[in-house]
Amino acid sequence: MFEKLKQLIAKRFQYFLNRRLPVSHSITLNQKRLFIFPSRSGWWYFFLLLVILMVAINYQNNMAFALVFLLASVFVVGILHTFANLSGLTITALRSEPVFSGDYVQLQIELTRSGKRRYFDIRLSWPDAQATSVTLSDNSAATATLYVPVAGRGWFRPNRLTVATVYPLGLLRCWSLLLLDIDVLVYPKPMAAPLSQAQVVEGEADGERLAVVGADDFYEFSEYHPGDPLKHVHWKGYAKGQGLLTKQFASYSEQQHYLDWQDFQGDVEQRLSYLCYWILQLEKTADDYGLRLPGIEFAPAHGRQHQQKLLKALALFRLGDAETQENLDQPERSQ
Amino acid sequence: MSLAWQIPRNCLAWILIAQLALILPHFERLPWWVLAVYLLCALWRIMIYQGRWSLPAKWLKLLLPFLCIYGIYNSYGTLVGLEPTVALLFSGFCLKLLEVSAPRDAYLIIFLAFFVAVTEFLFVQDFWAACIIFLTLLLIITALIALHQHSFDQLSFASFRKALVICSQAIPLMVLLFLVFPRFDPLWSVPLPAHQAKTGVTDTITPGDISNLSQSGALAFRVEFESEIPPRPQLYWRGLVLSEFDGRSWRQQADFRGPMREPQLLGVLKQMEPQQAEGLVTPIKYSIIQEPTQQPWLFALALAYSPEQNIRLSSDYRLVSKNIVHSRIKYRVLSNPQAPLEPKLSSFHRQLDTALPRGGNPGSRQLANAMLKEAGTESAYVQQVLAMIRQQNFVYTLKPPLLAEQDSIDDFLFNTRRGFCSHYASSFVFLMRAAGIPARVVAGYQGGEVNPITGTVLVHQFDAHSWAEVWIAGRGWRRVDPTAAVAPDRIEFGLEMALQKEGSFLSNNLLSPMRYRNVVWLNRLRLQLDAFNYQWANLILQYRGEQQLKVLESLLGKVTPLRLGLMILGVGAAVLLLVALFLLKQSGSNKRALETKIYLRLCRSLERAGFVRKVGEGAIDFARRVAEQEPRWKARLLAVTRLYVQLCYQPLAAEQRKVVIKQLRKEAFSLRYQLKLA
Repeated sequence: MFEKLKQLIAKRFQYFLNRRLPVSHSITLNQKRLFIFPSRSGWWYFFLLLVILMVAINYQNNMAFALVFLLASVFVVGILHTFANLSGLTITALRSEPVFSGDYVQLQIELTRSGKRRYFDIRLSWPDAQATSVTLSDNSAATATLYVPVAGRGWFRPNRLTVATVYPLGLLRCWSLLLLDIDVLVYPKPMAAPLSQAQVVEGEADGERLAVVGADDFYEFSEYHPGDPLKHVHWKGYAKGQGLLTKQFASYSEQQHYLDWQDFQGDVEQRLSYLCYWILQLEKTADDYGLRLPGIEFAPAHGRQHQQKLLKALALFRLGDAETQENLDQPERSQ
Repeated sequence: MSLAWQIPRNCLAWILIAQLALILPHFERLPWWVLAVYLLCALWRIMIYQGRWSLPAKWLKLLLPFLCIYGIYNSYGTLVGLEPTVALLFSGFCLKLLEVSAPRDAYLIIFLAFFVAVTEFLFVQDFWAACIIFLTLLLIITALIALHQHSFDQLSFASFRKALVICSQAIPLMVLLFLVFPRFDPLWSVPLPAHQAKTGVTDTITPGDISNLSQSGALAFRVEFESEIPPRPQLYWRGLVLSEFDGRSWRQQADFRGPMREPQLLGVLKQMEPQQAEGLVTPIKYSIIQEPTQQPWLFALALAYSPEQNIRLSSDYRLVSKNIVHSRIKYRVLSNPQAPLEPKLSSFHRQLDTALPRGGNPGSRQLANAMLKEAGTESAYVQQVLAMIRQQNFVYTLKPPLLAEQDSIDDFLFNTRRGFCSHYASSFVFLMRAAGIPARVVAGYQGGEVNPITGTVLVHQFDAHSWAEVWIAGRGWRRVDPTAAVAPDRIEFGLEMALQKEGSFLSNNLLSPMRYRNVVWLNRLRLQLDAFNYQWANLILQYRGEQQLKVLESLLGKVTPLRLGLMILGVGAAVLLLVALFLLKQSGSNKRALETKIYLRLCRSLERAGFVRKVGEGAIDFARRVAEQEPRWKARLLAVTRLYVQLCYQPLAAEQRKVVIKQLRKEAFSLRYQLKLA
């Protein structure tokens, strides 16, 4: 019975929040979006005032009365001041980089003020993340970075962000719960697994493909351009009077890899983790690599963009929602 | 919060300042070592902050409070009472400095500081003390604010300014609450500040013990007469009746002198009725504003009656308060100086008031018998004794020699013959009793100073006096002042005159403003300050009961719950609205930037010189146009425009911005000056 009531209240509160504070990318705090209540020390302050009032009454001491009334009035005026320390502040979610499951998402929040008033000690926090305090004094904008742990792959949308302040008196806490439009892609957690030879596919034109400039094997001479490393200048030729030439190095991509879903053992998440691991490993080498997932195939290639495309496919694999399928072929969701 | 929470440096600095401000006014009431403990803790805290010393060890943390408790017990002899409690609060509050490891601890220190500030009001409430304590309160609130300003790495006055803003906005609400809040009767009895009277009046007089009467220029009480002020020699403020003598000291006879009974009280009330018949005196009406004495006794002119509810008459015609006077009180008194005191003395009381210890002072007894025989009647005997004091070589001095342990009255009358009021009063009463005449010592104040600004009489502690009362059949207790016989100036003009030769008036009190009464402007300043203090005491400190009702009636017409409620809501809402507007204005987005203000001001000056900026014309275009027509101003105007454009469109660091704005201001000012000259 009690549990049910609690659930009902929680549900009503969520409904209230969703109506009052819907998802948005950037939000300016105003009286409709802010809540205020005495903080824990505020309640102690009440108790203190009560004790002082008792002293004033028992000693019939008008100065003690004046003092307790001043303190009470300071509290009342403090409501407005605490409120003003959030009101007028604009909170914007900045773009966040994708992360691997089990890591911390780095969420960047920008706070901008409209006027010249200084804002002190604004605490930003997410559930399970360490809070950060931001002060806007000289600059009109500040960026706070929060680290939120994530588990599970796919699109991660953090819970409501708590923006709170107790400044100036610490006796009142003014806060808002913001649902910011932040979507962070979470890749599977990389896990090491042996790669069988079967997965290595010989290139069709062996030794012909030039992959990277600047690796270890000598490739050709070229005209010297200012800025070329002096180490690579062909000094011997220069001594022979051949002019200034620079040695160009290159490595050949010897192999092409196909990372195949079928070649790994384990459940879906495990296999995705192995695949993730190998995508990261192969990107470090000079080799091309492709990916075969049930229903999807990516041709071998190399480079950061290719890697991200593959990782995204892993992250969203079989998550089921329509959005996932739509987004698969687009390079990256932009905010 | 992380484990390594450090109190913000700004906050720590303000806490230390606020604590010092709290300790200093309390200093005379606290043992000296509490200040030492504070300084040690403050130093330790600073050293911890700088990483030079480590936090105190656990055993030390346990030991220090015990040491403090022991020290306080040693200093006061008790742990119960107001002063030891304040000392305990203080030392706890200082030691807590060593243990600030979370914001919670900082809050605790700050809340304790608020409480300590209140305790100061239990001892002093005058205007200057109130100023100091409210300033201290401002410092504590500053510390509270600084606790949430992590961005300052040193003492910052920004916190103080914020506190000032908040407090000044809170003052209207405080005044409202102060006016409206009902003053209840005390809910329970509370510990009171210990007795601290400097001279004043005590309930025991031992003339031979004090060889050098210390004096204080502090105010004892203040009297507002409704009609003319009686002449000074009649102002004998009766406070205590001391009728028990043990051979050396005079004491109150508390056991036999309880509250006044019905028939006697009716007699007093009869004397208080306005007298129509000729030759009879109409009672004098006045109010006394009594400074705290920590005693129940009150002072009034003889035959006094007070219509106040919690003041009663004792059977020896004194006014006694039901509660101990621990804060300033005001009471109305009716006095009939002509009315007889206790016209009929019961044989029991007669016996008590003629009692002397068996043996001792044989010389005085012999003298009394001889003089009584010679005089014949009791009245004549009284006059003869006074004549003896007047004519023989008795000296009035505040620095008398000590009297012998045995037979001190004899020693005084036949040997030293130097003394002050209590020596004379005590010897006189002894001589009366030795002759079988009921007599007793009365302690109180004599005289007073009229403040011409307020028209009130100020009675100071150095006006303390003792005299004698002698019971004469048919006339009741009559006041006899043997001091008047030896030093008539003391009664006519006051202590200062009486001691002119000796120069000992307030000699221990070099700083007392009373010492400099003969410097005219200083004296006027003193009297003006006194007038202010009087208004303060009268209007602010006594604001309760009838006075509160009167003020509320003058504000509201009629005091009804509805009107009161409307007033609270109306004034409260108005104040809060103004504060909200003030805060909104600060954050207003459409406020012009400083550089724009400066530039627009220059444009107005140019307009006066005949150059109007067209709608939509940019700053640079405008400057070029003006420069073409008036090359004199070209260099300056282009410089101003360049700076202005830079400020508007180029992102600059705060420091750099300040420099550029300063430059802009300088250039614009010079140009405007040029324009004005042209």
